[in-house]
Amino acid sequence: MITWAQAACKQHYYLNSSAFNYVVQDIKNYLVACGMTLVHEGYEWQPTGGDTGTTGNTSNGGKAFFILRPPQTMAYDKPYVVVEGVWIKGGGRGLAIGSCDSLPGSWPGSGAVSLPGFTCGTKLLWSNTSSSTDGYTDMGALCGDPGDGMAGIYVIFGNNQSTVICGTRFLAERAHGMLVLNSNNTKVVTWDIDGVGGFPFQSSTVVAVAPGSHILHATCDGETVTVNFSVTLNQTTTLQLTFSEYGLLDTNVYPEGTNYTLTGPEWPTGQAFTGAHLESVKVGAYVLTAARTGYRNLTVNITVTTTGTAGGTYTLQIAGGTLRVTTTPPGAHIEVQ
Amino acid sequence: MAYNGTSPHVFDPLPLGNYSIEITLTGYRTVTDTVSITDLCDIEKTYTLVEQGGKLTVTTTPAGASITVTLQE
Repeated sequence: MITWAQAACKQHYYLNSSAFNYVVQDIKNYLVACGMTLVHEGYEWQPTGGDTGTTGNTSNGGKAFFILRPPQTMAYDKPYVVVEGVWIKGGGRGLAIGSCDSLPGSWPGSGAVSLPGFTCGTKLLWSNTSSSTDGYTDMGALCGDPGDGMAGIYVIFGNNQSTVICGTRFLAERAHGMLVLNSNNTKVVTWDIDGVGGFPFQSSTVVAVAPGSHILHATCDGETVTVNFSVTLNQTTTLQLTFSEYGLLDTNVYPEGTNYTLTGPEWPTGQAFTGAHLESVKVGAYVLTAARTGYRNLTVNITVTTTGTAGGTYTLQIAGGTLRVTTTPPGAHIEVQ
Repeated sequence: MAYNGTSPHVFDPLPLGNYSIEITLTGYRTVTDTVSITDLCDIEKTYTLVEQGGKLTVTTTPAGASITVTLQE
């Protein structure tokens, strides 16, 4: 099911002769950036004569068109097909959306290809008078289901000097529920749902997902988690993605050559090291232990966090005791060996 | 390795091991001893030095002579 809504104007264009081509290209590029595939485009410029559209203006004019197809599979963080249409504040032809040459207001022989799934002649979006939103509500039926791979969007721009055009978003909203993704890791999370990727996020994001059961793959800092989840229409589902968090651990133990062991989340059973060691490890509590003949055993508790560098340089203390020597009379030389 | 000091002296820390102790002071007899150092031990040794010297018996005939013994530096 597709519903249509109109968002706020993105940009106002002053669609005169010099800006005409620029505006057309700009809007086309925007649509392509939204994930649509450019099927065909053409341009006809009539600088000295009126265009031939049935309701076109009679002043200097021209027309340009392009045909776009929505993506076969929509990314889950793009729940909308966004069509950057235009509507006219002044009058004259601004935008027609339809299919093939039979669309009223289009130009026969313009070279547009037919798009299956369209009903020509009934879904015109345009304004031929001062009415600014005439035809707007018909747009949805024209575009069909963007997920079926059959529909396309045929956009025709007619030129009319001194006509102010307001760039307007028309949003095709898919039936969906909302999915909230929360990550315990502040680093970028890349993800996909059922193989369709979305925009990477940090910490949290909200996406629209088709109702039903899905599989989420999320990767952060080289670690991937897989979650099976379900979304209900118009309901919100929250997934807590738990990744291992990492921090820097920098350790060294003197005297040089001393062997020591680090035990913690990264090495649950302990890992032996010698000399300086710097590594990104899972956050948490670590214990450094070192033992060397002639030295006192060393045990250090280290907490690794996502910020800063934990650990340090540690020096073993020589194992030994105290010998106090007193003589009568004092001043005697003492040699201990 | 030898550790040296002048009494009274505290050797701290003294690495683990068995040691011999030698105490010398001019005019006194040298004292030797042994000690075993364990980790974190605190051992106190006190020595009373005995002056060096011997017994000199002087006999004269006839008896009654005055005797003077002078220490040669």
